[in-house]
Amino acid sequence: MAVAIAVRVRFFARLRELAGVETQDVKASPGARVASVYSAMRAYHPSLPPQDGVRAALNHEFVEWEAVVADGDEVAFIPPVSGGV
Amino acid sequence: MRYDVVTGPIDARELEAIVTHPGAGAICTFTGIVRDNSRGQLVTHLDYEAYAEMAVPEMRKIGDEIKERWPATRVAMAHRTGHLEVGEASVVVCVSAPHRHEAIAACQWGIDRLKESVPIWKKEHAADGTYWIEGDAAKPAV
Repeated sequence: MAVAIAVRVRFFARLRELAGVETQDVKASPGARVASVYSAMRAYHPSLPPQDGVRAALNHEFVEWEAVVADGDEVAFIPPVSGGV
Repeated sequence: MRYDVVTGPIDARELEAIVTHPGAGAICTFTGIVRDNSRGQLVTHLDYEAYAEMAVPEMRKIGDEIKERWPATRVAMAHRTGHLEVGEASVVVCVSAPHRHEAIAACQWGIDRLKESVPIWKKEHAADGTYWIEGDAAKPAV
């Protein structure tokens, strides 16, 4: 049985308000993908929207939802950015 | 080159001083200003929020792309966060180039890219309520 990894999750803007937290430290299974971290967060914070329209960043870089997280990673969930001037 | 997320007023002249050099015949500066209306509603003020640890590297990437596309340009960008009143500058993109066409094209490209990919969000306080602006959508704040 592999040991769980620790990941720091960050929410911004409307997602931060919906989650009710800015930062959350969570455990994940080794090999877990960003999408499964978001699913776990939605289970924890049911107000969070489906992942369509949300972008994910891993250690400050935009990534696909299939990206695999590692111990100590920072995963951010990012709503669409500020839009027109 | 300078890429910054700041909490106080942005001085566009200071960014111009960073990009200017003897070979630059043109500087194009874009300044985004808080407007008093949106969606047909009166806007009282805005709050900007940034993922600063990511926003600054994303701005740097845009600057690097500008320098690849338009050689001999120099770039500076700053975005302000926190509470902004109508008429205040929220963002400045400044590009110097040997000639005006490159400076203008690169500056426009830079602000368009910044709006697409730099993780900074705008919360609009308007007559009809408070909204997060997400691309073309306005979603009620919680």
